This record gives sequence, C-alpha cells and structure tokens, in this order.
Amino acid sequence: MGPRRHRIQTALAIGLLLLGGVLINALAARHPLRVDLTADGRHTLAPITRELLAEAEGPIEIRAFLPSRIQPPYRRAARALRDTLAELDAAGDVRLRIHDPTDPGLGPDERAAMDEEAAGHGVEAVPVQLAEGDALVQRQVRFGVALLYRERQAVVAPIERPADAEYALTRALRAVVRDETRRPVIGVAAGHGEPDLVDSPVAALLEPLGEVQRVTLDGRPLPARIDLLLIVGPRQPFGERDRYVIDQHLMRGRALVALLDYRPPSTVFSDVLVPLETGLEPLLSAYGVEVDPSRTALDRTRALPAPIGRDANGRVITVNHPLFPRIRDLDPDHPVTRGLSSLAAPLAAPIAVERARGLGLDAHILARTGPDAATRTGVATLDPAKYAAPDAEAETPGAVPIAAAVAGQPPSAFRERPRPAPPEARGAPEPPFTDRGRGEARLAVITSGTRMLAAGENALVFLQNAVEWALTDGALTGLRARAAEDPPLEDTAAATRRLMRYGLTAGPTLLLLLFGGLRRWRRRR
Amino acid sequence: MKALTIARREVSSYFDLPIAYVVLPAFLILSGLYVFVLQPFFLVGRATLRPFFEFAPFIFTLFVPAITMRLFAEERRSGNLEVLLTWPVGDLALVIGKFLGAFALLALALALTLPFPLAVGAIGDLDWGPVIGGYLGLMLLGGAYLAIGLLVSALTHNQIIAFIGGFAVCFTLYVAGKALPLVPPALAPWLEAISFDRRFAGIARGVVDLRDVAFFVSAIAVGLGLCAEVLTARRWR
Repeated sequence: MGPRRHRIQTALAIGLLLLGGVLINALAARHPLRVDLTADGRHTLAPITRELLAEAEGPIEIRAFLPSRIQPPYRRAARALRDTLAELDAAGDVRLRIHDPTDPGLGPDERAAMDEEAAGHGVEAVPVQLAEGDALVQRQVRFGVALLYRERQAVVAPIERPADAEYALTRALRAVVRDETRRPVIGVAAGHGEPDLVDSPVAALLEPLGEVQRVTLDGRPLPARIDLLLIVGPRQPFGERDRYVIDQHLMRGRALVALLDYRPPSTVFSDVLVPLETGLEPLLSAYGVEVDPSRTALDRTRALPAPIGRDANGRVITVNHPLFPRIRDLDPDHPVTRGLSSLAAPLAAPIAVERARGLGLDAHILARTGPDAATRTGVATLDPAKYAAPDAEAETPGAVPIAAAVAGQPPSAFRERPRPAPPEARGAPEPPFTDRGRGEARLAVITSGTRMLAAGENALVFLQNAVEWALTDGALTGLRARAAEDPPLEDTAAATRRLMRYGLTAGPTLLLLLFGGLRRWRRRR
Repeated sequence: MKALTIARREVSSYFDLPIAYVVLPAFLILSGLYVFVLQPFFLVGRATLRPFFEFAPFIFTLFVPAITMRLFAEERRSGNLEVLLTWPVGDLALVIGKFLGAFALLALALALTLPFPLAVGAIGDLDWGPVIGGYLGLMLLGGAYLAIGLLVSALTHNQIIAFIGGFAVCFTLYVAGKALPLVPPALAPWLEAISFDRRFAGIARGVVDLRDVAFFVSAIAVGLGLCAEVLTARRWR
C-alpha cells in the first residue's frame, strides 16, 4: 500500500470515527434517558413543571444571574436554582444562560453590561460581602432569574430557601407559558384588632403569591378583586354583617384562610389568657367546620419551649409548655401540609370537619396533636404549673385536630336566615345575594394564630402553602415542601473533626505508600 | 487479550517507577486538603461530597496528563515505540492496552478516595446516589481525559510537551462551559455541547443522563481511535 493510498485510508478512518461519535450522540439525544439517583428524587422535576415545559411551543429563554460568592441565606438557594435550571434545560426546549455576577474574572465593562442586562430584565440586587484584595467589601449584585417566552417575561426574585427553587421557577414558567399575567389579590383583614401584616415581613413572604392589600371589614361588600381573604388573630368578634360579607365572598368561589386565636394574653397581666370567640364560628359551622373555643389542646409529651415571663434581669424565661404542642401528625397528602415535618400550634382549639363532608365538601384535617394529647376546658392562665398534672374533670384525652381545609361549593350560611342590611349609602352597591357557591370556594382554618406565627417551626411555610392552595389549583404547593438540600452533619467533637480533616487528607496516601513499601520488600525477597 | 497483557504491563510499570507514588499522593492530598481543610466543610455542616466532585474535574486536568504524558512520548523518545510496533499487536490493541493500564491507575486513585464518603456517611445521613453518580462521572470524565492525553502523547516525543499539550486540551474542554455567558449566543450551544464540566456536573449531582454518558463514551472512542490512527500513520513514514 503506497503512502498516498494510506493517507486516504487514514482520512477515511478519522472521518468515520468522528461520524461514529456524532451518531452515538445523536442517537442518545433522540432517545433521552435520565435517571435520578438521589434517594428522594430531588432532581426529578415535578409533573406540573414537565407539563408546563411540554406546553411551550418554542424555546423558553432563561437568563439566570446567580452569584456564586454569596453569603447565607442566598448561597444554598443559588445552588438549588442552578441545579433546577440544569434540569429544566435537560427536560425542555430551554435556552439557558447562567451568569455569575461575582465572577472575579469579569472585567468592569463585562460586569457593567451584565448588570445592565439584569436590570433590564427586572432582576433585583441583593447585598453581598465580597473579598477584594485583603478587605471585605459590601456590594449590590443581581440575583434572580428571568424567563422569556414569546412576548412575555417573568422574573424569579431572590429566594432564601433552597426548597423554594423549583416552586419559584415553575411559578414563573407558568406565568409565561399560560400567560397568567394577572396577579391574584390577597386581602388581609383589618378592623377587628388584627396585627398589621401588610407592613410586616409576613407580607413580603406572601407577595410572590399575589398582591397583598389591607381590607377593612366594616360591613361593606368585599371588593370583587379580592381573591383571598386572610384573617389572622382578630381580637374583636366579627358581627353578623361581617359574616354575611365573608359568606358572599366565599359564594363567589373565592377563598378564606383564617389563623384564629382563642386564648390571647391579657394586655394587663402577661400570664392571664382571655377566652375569645372570633364570631366566625357560626359561619364556619354553616360550612360544616366546627370549632370548639371552650377547649384548648394540651400535650405534655410533645411540648415546645414557650416564653412565660421575664427574670429579674429582664431575660425571657422559657419552659416546655403543654399548651404549646409540637404537631407532627400533618396530612402528608394535602398540598398545605405535604412535606412539613412539624408545626407549633400554641393554645389551639379543637376543630372538626365531619359535617362538611356530609355537605358534599372535600374536607381534610390538616394537623392534629399526638395521641397522648388532650383538650382542656377553662384554660385561663399561662402558668405551666397548672397543667403539669392531668385533670380528669377538665381534660378529655386523645389526639386533637387543630387545622382543616375545605374545598367545594358550600351552601350560604344565610340561605335560611335573615340577611343583614348593608351600611347606609356607603361605597359600592350591594351585589345580589348568592345562596350557593358559584365556583369552588376554598377555606383553610387553623385554630392557633399569632402565637403560631411567632413560634416559627414551619408556621410561615404553612401559611404560604395555605394561601397558595387557596389561590391556585394547588399543583405548585407541594413543590415548596420538597427537599432541596443535603442532610445536615451530626454534631461531632472537635477531636473527631480534626481526625477526619487530617486523617482523610493524609490517610489514603499513607495507605498507598505502605502498599508500595510492601511491594518493594516482596520483590527484594 | 493482547490489550489486557499490555495493560497489566503498564500498571506494573507505574508502580516500578516513582510515577504512581508521586502523582497519586499529589491527587489524594490535594483532594483531601481542598475538601476537608480549605473548604469550610464542618461549618457548612452538610452531608455531601459536592466539594470533592467540584474539585476533582479540575485536578484531573493536571493529574491525567501526568499519567499519560510518558505512555507514547517516552516510548518514542527512547526508540521503544518502533520495537513495539513490530510486535504482533494491532495499533488499536496497543492503544487500548495503554488506556486500560492508565485507567486502572485512575480507578485506583478514585478507590483511595472512598474513605471520604465513608467518613461523611458515618457522621451524617449521606445520600449515596450523588456519590455513586459522582464516581461514575469521574470515571467517564477521567477516561475521556486519558484518551485525549494518550492522543497528545502519541503526537510528540517530548514528555513535557505531551503533559502541557494534554493539560491545555483538557483544561480548555473543562472551562468551556464556564465561559458560556461570555461568548456570543450563537456559539453558546456548541460550546455547551463540548463542555466536559457541564456534562460532568449533571452526573455528579446524581442525575445520570444517557446523553452525557454517550458524550464521554464517544469522546473516549474517538480519542483512542485517533490515537491508533496516529500510530498507524507512523508505520508509513
């Protein structure tokens, strides 16, 4: 074979090799197979996310601005967003570009151009501490994701919880793919001594779900734009006219989320609890949701620390308090509680929904105390000593349901009752009475309000989930509860950590050198 | 069979020469230092080996060319290659044998890092899915780097040039994905397609995608095939 012929043969072989490589990749691309090896399927996109990607007719442009050199709480959230974006990229027709605004390799011009692009998409800036030279400097860097599809755009604001990554992206995806440009309106009830949530951090948590507005319940009909009425911790009871207004709001197929307090503290004596009826009980009862305000849930085996006063130095004294039960029995199948591991429910009252089911409504108990709990009557003080021992007369043992969710078309509470007249000559005209729901109404009630929010322990996630479920089809709600983080390390002694650090750094090498030494010794012999 | 014989000979030669006792400890010590000392591993407090799987692809760009640099370059410099080519062994079998030998060393290096996940698993509820994915990804990525390193080594008779060339190519393919935001949009999909880092990152998270596996397998096949062609071409010079 001559050199010329050989050159041709070599060229042919190289061409065939490259063609083979391309063919293998093309075949794999035509038959995509993706296996998520994580124990909890963490990187498997939810069905709703895949559905939305499949619905898109044409590419979805994603511009992500995810700083890598960023402090907690954003650091892990940025990584979770990056991971989820990679999954979106693999699953659909997505054109993904991820920018790192803290990349030290960026020049001033590139940085300015990136900042301008991010600002143009409406991506927010967050404060970040960056090491520049020997100093830590404070900088504002863009952090967020812009999704562009056809003429539509949605922006994912900075998130703090890694578990929110898929939720936030899917929500934005739904906004651009299904053109859900109208933001729902969340009306926060005012006028009955409720805490002002509109100017609180809670409102900031609800903002991604809808526009948060204060709504004063003063007898006038609720504005038609209100999609969800949120009632948190009213201190003065609602009257008949208020009940009518809320009833008609629900009859329009809207939603109500109520976090109710039944034993608020006295404003004069800190450990005195004042029994309270919110006035919503008769209304809820008409929909088959029964709350018994005279009883309070009590759990001596799963008690959470509660502030019971201050010592001589002004420090808050806390004790594990039976009236502050930790709820672990949460409905794993309901979107509101799916994925929640626990919930604090201080001074909660029992709730029941059997009658709601009898009315043909889809009713669920969302949370109940452990089986060793009880309900107790006459709870009037926070003094834990009063509840240290069981009181057979005042207590009824058993698990206590404390939260419920109801969906469906309930009958009006005023169908067979006189309807209260509207206030005279004020505001918009009264809409005609509706005696049966004209769409699916949604109702979520928990009998622990402001204290639950203050106690933390997933309370804000519960509230977000409840609002999300009540506002939407609930398909997204479960996404927020999915794990997106690696599990924590156990607490270890400093000596163990030191042993691990240096043992793992030097150990494998020593092992290898030992093997080498043995091999050499055997060869010599 | 002939390839396996060559592979065995190669593995043995790694341990006869200081190479295994220099390159492997460098890889192991740097990995351990990075993951458990330089990174705030215990401060972050998460049962994960992500820092290792983020660092290993970079260190592989140095480690793998250090293994492959002598495989053909040294044989050419010393004149052994001509002797080798007279053996009754096909060029492809020779290349595969050398590749398998180097791959065995790579696998040993990775096996020696197994105490990392075992230790982390002892003090946390480690999810083994991403760990298995990470090791599988490193084997595939390392295999692709080895094929590239072998090809570069076959092209030169100078070990240093083989090392620098192998490092340059591997590093370029490694950083290609990181440069995505800086290139024109029209180029981005092409760059993304050849980015080793992007392909590996998915597997290291515990998501094994057939496309990524096919990419690495085809990179290995093409690299070894080209290497065999380079050797064949030498016969005709």
